[in-house]
Parts: sequence; structure tokens; C-alpha cells
Amino acid sequence: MIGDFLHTTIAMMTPILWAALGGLFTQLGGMLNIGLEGMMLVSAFSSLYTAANTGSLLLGILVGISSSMLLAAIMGYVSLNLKANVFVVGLATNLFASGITVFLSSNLCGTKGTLYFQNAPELSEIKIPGIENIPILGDLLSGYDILDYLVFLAVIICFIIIFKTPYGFHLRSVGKNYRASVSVGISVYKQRFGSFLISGFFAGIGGAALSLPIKTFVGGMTNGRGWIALVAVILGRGNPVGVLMASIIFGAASALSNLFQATTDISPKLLLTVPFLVTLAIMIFYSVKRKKVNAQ
Amino acid sequence: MQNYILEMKNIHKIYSVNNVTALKNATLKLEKGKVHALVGENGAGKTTLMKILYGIEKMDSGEIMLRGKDVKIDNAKTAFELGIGMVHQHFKLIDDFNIAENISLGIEKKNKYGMIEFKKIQNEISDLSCKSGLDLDPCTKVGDLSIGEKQKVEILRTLYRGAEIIILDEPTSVLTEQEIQRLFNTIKMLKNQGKTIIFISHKLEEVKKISDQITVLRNGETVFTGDTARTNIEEISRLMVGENITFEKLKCTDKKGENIFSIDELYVKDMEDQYFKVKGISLNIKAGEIVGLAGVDGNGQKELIRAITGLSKIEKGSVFLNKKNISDYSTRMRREAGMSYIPKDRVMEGSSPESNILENEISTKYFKDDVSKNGWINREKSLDLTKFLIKEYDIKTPGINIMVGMLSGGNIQKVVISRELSSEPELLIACEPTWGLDIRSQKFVYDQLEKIRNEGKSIFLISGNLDEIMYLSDRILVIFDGEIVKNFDNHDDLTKMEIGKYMMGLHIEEKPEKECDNRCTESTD
Repeated sequence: MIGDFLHTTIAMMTPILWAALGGLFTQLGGMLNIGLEGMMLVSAFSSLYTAANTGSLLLGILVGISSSMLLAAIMGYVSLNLKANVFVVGLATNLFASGITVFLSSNLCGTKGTLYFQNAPELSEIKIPGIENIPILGDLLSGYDILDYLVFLAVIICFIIIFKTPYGFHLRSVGKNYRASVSVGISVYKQRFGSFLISGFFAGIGGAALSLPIKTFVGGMTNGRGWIALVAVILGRGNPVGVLMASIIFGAASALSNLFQATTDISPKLLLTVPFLVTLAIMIFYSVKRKKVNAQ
Repeated sequence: MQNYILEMKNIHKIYSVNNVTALKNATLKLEKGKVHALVGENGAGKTTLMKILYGIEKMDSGEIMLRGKDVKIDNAKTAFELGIGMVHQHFKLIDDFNIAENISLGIEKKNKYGMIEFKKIQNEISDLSCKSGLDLDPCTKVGDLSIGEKQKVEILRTLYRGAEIIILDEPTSVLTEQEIQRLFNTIKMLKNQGKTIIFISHKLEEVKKISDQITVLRNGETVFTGDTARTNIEEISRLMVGENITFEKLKCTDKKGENIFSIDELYVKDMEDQYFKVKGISLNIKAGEIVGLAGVDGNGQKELIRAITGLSKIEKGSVFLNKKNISDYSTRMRREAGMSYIPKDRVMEGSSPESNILENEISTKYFKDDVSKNGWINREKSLDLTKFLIKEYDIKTPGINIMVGMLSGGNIQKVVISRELSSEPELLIACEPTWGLDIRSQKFVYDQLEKIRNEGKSIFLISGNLDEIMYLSDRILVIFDGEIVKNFDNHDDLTKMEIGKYMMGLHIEEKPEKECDNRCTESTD
């Protein structure tokens, strides 16, 4: 059972972590990307629909990423070029995404409800020979799909981009004090627009990681994961490793909720709130702790 | 023909936003290896001229010649490629980054994989900082530095970027007396290394001390250029203002009344609630008396003021106003008891820059019958009051609905002062009331303070400008390490040196200068 729990934790974590890595970049540039949820949702639909109709997973993921990035670009354009409030733009993005996906679902597939693509290509589980049979460790390390494994690589790549390359360095400077960046010739606009695109890229993979493994799309299936990703970004304090840690906690909370649903008689609806209660608890703990640190 | 490293000729600039002529026929000629002072009142166009040179603003007409060649400077990047560096009045540094990161931002050295070579950069900066005499450890976080050190970082950044001409925009306005001395040493060193310095200031004593040449701007026009040695302060001051303004020490009055304000054994902790910053201060201020508080920044002035005005908690001791113990009063109750307060930072604390003049003026009295009735603000009355104050205090503004942040520094201060004095206080707490103001505005503030003192009000003046303290005060208190260490009567034979000794803490010796060794000692990852 422990093995199952750990496995579910990682599987639940993946979409959150992908989206959170995206949110991390906008956060570093000094913008809070409220639109993660919407970007995930759009990609969840478009990637699955494309994959089911072309039979290509890769194509599906690419289309998912593109649609999410397109949404991110619109968000960037409206908030940076047209100078609209980024918070409001983000909310609009989410509302738009939940509307357009249901609209397309009913227009293209004839249903507003659950969309199951039996013939969609399988995002197969990768079993690591040798390890898969070890108890617990086998469950923890083996049997995930490719997007689950890649996200760990993505954490490392993000770390390098953020802390070792000029792009990351400039982006961080913009987020911390954009006036200083401007004075040395860094374009705040380019940095921030770039961070929106990256945000869309990662959120897009996050969305695909949600729908492809189960070959199913339901309206609003992100179910708050974009928001939780946003919390993970804040808890991660500008560091991809921190974001990973935070995402694991949220993955565990979701896994716990699943576990209880299977093993207890507590109302499943109540159990679905577990991840959000955990989020609340962590935020309270985090701000109390930060207050103490500041006082020292 | 003389050999100039830089010539700016007949520069014109009109700001399209408000159609204000910032520069007309401004001319500036620099000789290599000299310190050239650019002086003028607030709004005379000094900063605009420098922004044009640095590529932040575009000129409408005129020409810039660098080493005899016509140049076009469109942005800050071109400027520094041409060897022009600028140290802004408000530093452009990132507190969370260390010195090396701040200095290399925008021009990072990369290895062949496109990664930044922070180690290499640190070593280069460390070498440069030793060579140039600006002793800095490249791994220190900028947020941990003092203001004087931050300024050094800015200067080092211009050097690292290969600047030959360094613009210092009002560099002394943020520094303490000792830091100014160190800055002057740095400037001399840079000059010896062949750098050309543009020193912007409106403090003429400093200009006289540090510059070789001087250019005076008035209303956007160059009215004088010449060798500093062949001018005198009075002449320059006249050229700057267009008329003669001098300060004379205020005569102490004999008409002192009873104690209006007193503090008894006051203890206050710092903002983080950790240490005592005010350690048992007692003082009295009589009616019709100006008491000046002198001291080096950070010796408890801020905490003392915050406790008096009700912004910080009092740990122990009492504050009395008009024989009433106001220690437990809220800020508003203290104001109603007759206290007014001119804060040090007129934009952050003294006013609401994004509200208009009317809103700022009534912000301390919106609840009083003067401007409101039954909880509703009376538009007519508040409009009348504001119009009256604008006229009375000669606030220069295009209109009553202008956001206060759009006004010049001197006029913002007039808004603050008019608001504070119009509530007819018994006691005025004035913190750095003339900080960053030009001579004319400064004179205005002094006149106002003198006027209310002569009306029998009490003033507690806190200032880092010792001249100001000595001009205005009847008595001078010196604060050091949270205690009042001396109480001077402001006699004519009292000297700055004498006060300075107490400000520095008589018994404490200067630390020896450490040797220049600033290789990184810690990892920065």
C-alpha cells in the first residue's frame, strides 16, 4: 500500500509540477500568472483531440503546447502591450479556456460531458527492468509514463536556465527591480513576454499530462491544479527545486485523498477537498514561519 | 582651440507631456581628467541635460561631440559603449544580488556553453576594486551595504563598463558628512587615473571644494562656465538663483514660555522589535523655542520620532504635550492634542503622491468641522481651504487637481508644510524639512519655521544637516547611540567641530582601515 501511495503521489504531482515550472518563470519576471489553469485546460483538450485524430502522441503534445503558448502570448500581449491588469487578464484567460474547451468539445465531438477516446494512442507506462520488481522502490521509481520522467529533467534544465544563463539572470533582475534592469539596457518587455511564452510551454505539457494518460477529457478537468501550481511557485521561492518539493507535497495530498476514498467511508466529496486544505495549512504555516524569520 | 573630451552644444529640449521647456541653449564642455561641476536649482535642467547625454532622453536639437567627433546617443547602452557612465541619484541596484552580479548585469561574460562565468567576473571585479581604490568584496549582498557603499558599487560599475566620463547625479544628497569625505577621496583618485567627472550638485560649498570647473544652469540655459578657483560661492549662488539669497543665523528669542513638550526617560525598540534604539531620553521644549537634534543617522532619531508621533510602541517612559500624558494616544489623538509632523520622506510618508493637492491638504483634517459636516466632506469648504493654502504658501501648480507626485520636490514640501502648519499646532516635529531642496525653497521653509516660532510655537527639528541645525535652533541636543549626550545653547561661538565631536561619540575611536583583500571567501551558489 505504501508503494501505491508513493506511486500515486508522483503521478498526481506531474501535471502540477509542469504547470508550476511555467508559473515559476513569470513569477521570476515579476508577474503572477493566474492563467496557468486555463492554459492547462486548453492543452488538455487540444493535445488529446489531436492525438486521438492523428494517432500521434508527439503531435498531440506539440499541438497542446502550441495552443497553451498561444493563450500565453495573448495574455502577455494584453497585459504587457495593452497594459491591462495581469490579474484580471489571467482570470479572463481561465474563463475563456473553460468556455472554449466545452464549446469545442460539443462542436467537434458532440458532447459537453465526458469525452473518452478509445482509439487514442496509449501513453504507455515505462517499466524499468530490474527495479520494477523491488517492493516499494519499484513502485516509486518504475511504471510511469514519459511525461512523468521528463518533468524531473525539466527541473534540472530550469535550474540551469534560471541560475546559470544570462536569460535567467536578466529575468530575475527584472523581477527584483526592473528599474535597475532598464538602466543597464535590459528590455523588461522582452523578458516578461518571454516568460509568458515559457509559462505557456510548460503549462501546455502539464495539460497534456492530465488528459493523455487517461485518454479522457472533461470540462474543467484541471480542477484547480493551475491554482495549486501557483501556490507551489510561491512556496518554491524562485527555485525550481523548491517548486519540486512543494509539488510533491501537493501530489501526496491528492494521493492521500485517493487512498481515503478507497479505504474509508468518508464522503468522497469531502475527501476531494484534502489537497486544498493542505494548501491552506501550508500557506498559513509558511507565512507564520516567514514572519518569525523576518523578526530575527 | 581647446581640446575637449566632450562638448554638448546648444541643446534644446521641450517635454511634450506638459510642454515645459527643460533646456534652451544649454552648453557643456568638459576637459579630460577634470572634475566639472554642473550646478543649478531644482528644475534648472541639470538632470535633463545628463539624461540626454546618457541617452535616456532625446534632445530636440543641438549636438554632442565626443573626442571631437559627432555622436548620436539613443540609449543607455550606446552611452556606455562610448565610455559614458552614470551614477543615478536613486541607485539602480538590486538588493538581493551581490555586488558582482549587480555590476555585471547586462554584460555578463559567458563560456562556450552560454553559461555565465560568475567566478571569473568576481575575480575581475575584485581586481578592479583594488586597483581603483574602491574597496569592495564582490560577494557581499548589496542589500547589506550602507548607502555610501552602494554608491561605490555604482561607481565601480561604471568603471567595469569602461567609463571614461562619469556622471555623478547629486551624489552627496544621500550621504552623511563622513561618507561625503570618502566620496571626495574617491573622486580625487578617479581624477588621478585620468577619468573625467561630472559632479551635479546644488550645494556650493561642496562644489567649491571638489571641482576644477563649473557650469551654471538657470531655467535650462547655461549662464556661466569657468574655473572654480576663479569664482566664489556668492557669485555662483547669484548666478544660479538670479538674485541673492543668503542665510543668517536666527536670533534666539527671549520670549520663551512654559514647557510645552517634554519626554521623560523614553525607551524605544527598533522596527524589528529586537534592540533598544532609544535608551532613556528625556528632554523639554518650551513655547517659542526651536530645539535641534543633531546626530549621525541611525543613532535612534528615527525611533525617537516614531515614538513621539505615535507610529511606534513606547517600551518605557512618557511623552507629555501641554501637560497631558499622550504616551497612549493614537497618532490622530496626538495631532488633535496639538502636534504636527513633517516627515523626513515627503513622498513616501509626508504625502500621497497619487492623490491631488486638495486630498492631501485635507487628509489631516477631513474629520474636522473646517471641511466636513456629519461625516460628509464639504466640497466647497475644502476647495476654499486648498485654494487659500496654495496662495498663502505659493505652491506652484498647474491646478488643484494635479497629483502631488507630479509637482517638484520643493512644491511637494510646500504642500506638506502648509497642511501641517494650517492645523495650528502647539508643537511641530520637523524631520529633515529641507532635504534635497534648492536654496529658494530652503529659504521658504526656514522663514515658515521662524514665523511660527515667533508666534510662540515649539519646534523640534531633526536634521542631518548641521548647518541647518545651527541656523535655526535655540538649543541643540546631540543624540548618540540612543542617548542625548549633550545639550548646547546655540551661542555664536559654538562650532561645528564641537558638536561633531559629540555626534561621533567622544570616547569611540575610528576603526583602522582594513587592507584591500576582497577575494571571495564564501561560495555564492
